Amino acid sequence: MSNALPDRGSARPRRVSTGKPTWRAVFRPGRVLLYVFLVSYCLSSVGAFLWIASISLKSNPEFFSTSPWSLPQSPTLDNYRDAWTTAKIGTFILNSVIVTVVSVGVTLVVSSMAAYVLSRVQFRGNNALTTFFLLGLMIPGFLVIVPLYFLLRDMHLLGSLYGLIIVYIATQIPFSIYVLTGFFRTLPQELEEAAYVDGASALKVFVKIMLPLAGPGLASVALLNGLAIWNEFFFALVFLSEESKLTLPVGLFRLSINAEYSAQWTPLFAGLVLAMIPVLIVFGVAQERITKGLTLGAVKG
Amino acid sequence: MLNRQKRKLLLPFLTPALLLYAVFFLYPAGRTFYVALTSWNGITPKLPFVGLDNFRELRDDAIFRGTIRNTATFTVLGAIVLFPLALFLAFATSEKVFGARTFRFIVLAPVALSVATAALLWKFALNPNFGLVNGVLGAVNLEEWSRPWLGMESTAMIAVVLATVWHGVGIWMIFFAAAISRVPQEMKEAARIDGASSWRIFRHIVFPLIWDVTRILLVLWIIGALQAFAFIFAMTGGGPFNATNVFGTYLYSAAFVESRFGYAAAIAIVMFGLILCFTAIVTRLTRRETVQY
Repeated sequence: MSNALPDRGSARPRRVSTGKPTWRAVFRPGRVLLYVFLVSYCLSSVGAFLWIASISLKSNPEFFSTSPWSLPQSPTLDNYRDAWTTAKIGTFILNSVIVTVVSVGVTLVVSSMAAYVLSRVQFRGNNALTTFFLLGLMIPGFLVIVPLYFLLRDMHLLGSLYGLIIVYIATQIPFSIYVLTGFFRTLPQELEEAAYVDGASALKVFVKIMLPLAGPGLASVALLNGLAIWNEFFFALVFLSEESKLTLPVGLFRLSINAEYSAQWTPLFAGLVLAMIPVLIVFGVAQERITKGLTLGAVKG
Repeated sequence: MLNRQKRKLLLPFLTPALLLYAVFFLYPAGRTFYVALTSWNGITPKLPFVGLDNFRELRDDAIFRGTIRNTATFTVLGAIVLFPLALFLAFATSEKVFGARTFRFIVLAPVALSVATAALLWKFALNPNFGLVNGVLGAVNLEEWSRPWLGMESTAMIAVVLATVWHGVGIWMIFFAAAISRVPQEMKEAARIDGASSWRIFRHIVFPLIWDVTRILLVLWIIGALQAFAFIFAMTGGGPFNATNVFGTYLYSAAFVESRFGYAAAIAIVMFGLILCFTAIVTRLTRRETVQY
């Protein structure tokens, strides 16, 4: 992966890199076309973001009276106040944070324990059990949704964040175990053995030696699961109903439905901005790791 | 000795994952096969067994046949837009270009947005009254091109596909970039010294070497596209007049709008069967992917 992204140094024109100055290569006709396309693609993407941001600063009357892409005449933050308080975006974000953090955390603990045993302990039925877990990689959400709905209902977990969290953990287990067993298998045997010779207990070896060694794998799994859960729409749509319990994706969707009737559009745009900013920041900071994780998760599709 | 020590961990370490996975994932998946054989409405305590009636009804259901067509259209149209675009972006940003990192960030950024957020963004951009797209068309004197994109049967599917691709293209770009980065630098350099253009390097060196990966990604796209739901649900709800109604949206409305849970389960089984077929193809393709370079 590391050589996929040219580092800053090599992206700049250098006098000796491949024998001829790269600036000349940059102005070849093919290159110019390439730039034009890249830049216009990115500009239209950024443009869409900016458009949402600009509307979020308009008042509702201004929104209806001016052209959709005019700049706000008198920028106001009222929409953000409305979005946060009356539209409950704050609650949605909080719910999403709780659901994501708890699900990712528990999935990580539970899956790393199982993956460790499956990959580093010999016992009868090990392979069968591993296959049994990996079976889950082929099961789409649609196949479980109907019985799961009634299972949660019968357990009085329908409409509660706990129910959703349990579902998220269960659905993320196969993928997490798949990645983590692969990771544990690559770790050297010697460290583990040395610790046992020193008299450490099995649990201690796992916590103090194996887990830290598997750190990068754990981080990738956590990031990918986190991204998937933060954005999950289908299960949340089906299992949640009360407004105060909604996660951000479903909450925003519900708001957009309401906006069609009430014609209160501008707070929704502010809500979109509020929903985008935290993920974009996380993304900007962790881009490299996410990129690596995504390549790792290619199998998950 | 060592292994005996570790065996003490077996039960406590395996049980939590096994329990959660079996009860909340595997069991419901299995039960769907039974529910599909009933005409359950979710209220009666007993599930009325009807055999294969649901599948027979599916066979004669004009809307379901429509969803097959729409899912296929979505899959094919999506691949046609997504693959050339992702491949181009991956190759372009793998070359020595200014700001490759920034380009990648911008292309990848939508992935981080929730599908619902991205879908709403595009729903607004395509809105006939206040949308960005019609606004821009008006500003460049192409007013006659502007239309209610999501409200017309002819354009709704294209709009949904474009939004889906815009959201996900970054991931596919990363997959392709990873494959491209495994193409030996010396081969590209040698061709460049011989005066080959970027296009020819791509066409004759890079593309043949990543063809295997491309095949696998294509099948993965198909598996994902068969399950398309969130974008379509949030942007069009399957409309107008079922023009964008796919497996996912039809299943959702059968189950959670009409309370026909047996019928919905039967749709899920059909989807699952198709996904299994394509998964089998991926597995075979992956096994053959042993090209060394």
